[in-house]
Amino acid sequence: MKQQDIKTEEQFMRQNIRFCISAGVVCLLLSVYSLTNHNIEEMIVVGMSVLFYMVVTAIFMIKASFPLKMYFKYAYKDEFLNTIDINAYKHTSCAFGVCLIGVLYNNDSIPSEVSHANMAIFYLGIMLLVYGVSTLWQSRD
Amino acid sequence: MQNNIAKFRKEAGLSQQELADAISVSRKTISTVETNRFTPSVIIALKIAANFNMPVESLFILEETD
Repeated sequence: MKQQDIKTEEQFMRQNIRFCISAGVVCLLLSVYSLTNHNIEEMIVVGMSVLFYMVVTAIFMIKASFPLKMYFKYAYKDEFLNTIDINAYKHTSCAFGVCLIGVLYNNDSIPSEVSHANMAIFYLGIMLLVYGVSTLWQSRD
Repeated sequence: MQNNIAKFRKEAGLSQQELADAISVSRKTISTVETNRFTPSVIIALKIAANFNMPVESLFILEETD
């Protein structure tokens, strides 16, 4: 494996961590905001802003010379990066499962106005945040 | 499992990045192996040993709990 490929993968993972954490925080803020205000119209505006942010970030990452094929690969070539990526996916799955169980048990306390879109953004936020934090924590020096 | 990679690397006057470049892995691989947070595969262990011209057994030390 070329050393240049490994450095590209390291750089890609760093960008991925930043993207996941920032997008996760934004999604969680959005879902918490919509849970407390129950305002669907405002949520659509904020949701479109989040989508715009994600698209802009994706364009930035592509422009940062990452080859497009990296987004469609399911494994890092470097052994360590691949291991922490797999661990991060496991942590993400666990967090998603815990969230689902939590929502299942607290079903009565969730207002009926809360839409499926709110919950989907909440789950997405949790998953992105857990993936980003897990990868960041595992890749510390 | 303990290892003496950091010791031998410093004796050879190599940085983590230089050792990583020599055996085609990421710098974080070297960093986490040295701090015992990541157990490398046999391939990486053999590559590190070959880079220092010494047997793997002198780089990695099994503990009683392993």
